[in-house]
Amino acid sequence: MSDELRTLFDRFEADSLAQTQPPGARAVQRTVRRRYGTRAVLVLAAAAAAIVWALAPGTSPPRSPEPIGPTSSPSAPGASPTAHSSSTPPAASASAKTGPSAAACDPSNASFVGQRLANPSPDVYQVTAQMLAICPDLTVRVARATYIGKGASITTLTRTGSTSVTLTATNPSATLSTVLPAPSCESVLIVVYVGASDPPSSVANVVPNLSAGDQHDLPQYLQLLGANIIATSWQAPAC
Amino acid sequence: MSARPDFAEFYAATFARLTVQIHAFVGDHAEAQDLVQEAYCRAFARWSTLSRYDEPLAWVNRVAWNLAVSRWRRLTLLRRRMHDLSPPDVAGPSAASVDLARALGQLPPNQRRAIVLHYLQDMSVADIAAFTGAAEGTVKAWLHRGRTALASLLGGVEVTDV
Repeated sequence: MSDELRTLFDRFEADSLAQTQPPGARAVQRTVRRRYGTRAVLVLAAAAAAIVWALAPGTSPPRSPEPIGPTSSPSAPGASPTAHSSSTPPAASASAKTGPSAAACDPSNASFVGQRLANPSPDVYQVTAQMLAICPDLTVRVARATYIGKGASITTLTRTGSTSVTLTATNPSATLSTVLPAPSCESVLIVVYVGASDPPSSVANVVPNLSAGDQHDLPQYLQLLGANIIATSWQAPAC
Repeated sequence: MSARPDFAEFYAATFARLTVQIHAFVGDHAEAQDLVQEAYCRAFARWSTLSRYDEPLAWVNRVAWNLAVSRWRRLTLLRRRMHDLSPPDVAGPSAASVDLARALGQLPPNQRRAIVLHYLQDMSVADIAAFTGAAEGTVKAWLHRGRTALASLLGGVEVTDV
């Protein structure tokens, strides 16, 4: 049995080939060159716009988010008080600080200091011998602020307490607890940071964001202080 | 940036046949030509790599078919704009070819693709299965149903299964 479709396709192929007029390899090259050119112009324009934006008065270059330590998960609503989140600052042990410690002393830079503080045990912060070797007159202010707001829907948390310690060569270590209170109807946020500024009297309620795993809001608020967050602890309302 | 010397030869040797297949699939010659040209543009952009392949046409073929399957809608508009620019001295397709294109257009895309690859690229069931990522049994079913539908749409032409 013959396959008439084969015949039809052969005829179709012949017709289609007769119609085909390839634009040509040169057309391909022109198209590709034009696309490269367009792309290059766009990249240059974007770079120029970025430079203009960076140099314009009143703007600052984009700042990468401050590294926040692997903050432990918050206590879930209704969790037992013993399940409170405990903070883990980003500073590693002094023995782990090799590369960064070679940097020049910059004690006024909270980020510089915050990233080099040792954290030998939870809630204990320590200037290391390595840091003191670079910065013998180092003075580091570590502060803790506690913010509370009633209910889950509140938009602002109010500072209910703050404390700070100054670490020096003679007082190289201090403890700032981030233990949360017993679960209640209140959103609680505890922040430990390095910086000379006092904490703001209120901050936006970032607990829902933190609970959802988004830690980006927090440094945005507290970088207004020039601070470097080294530990956070939070608790969603449990009612 | 300059083309390798063999790109032009590769293009000239392969463009037309690939256009025929895409033409059969999309049902419009101008759109098929645009799609194939786009595939060659993409090939040219990475020709230094592709030219080292054993079968650079397989890459272009794949890209052209991907473009055709996704129908690359933007080119439809371009085709409409350029339709009037077609050279007037090109002979039109025969009535049988028009009927076949119209009938192909009524097949589901998978059946149409299998039919086109089989009849215009001489691919076996196994080749089509490898090309489309479908099982051979599925390809056989596509071919069978496609041929049956075409026979019906074309007024009872005789077909044979692979």
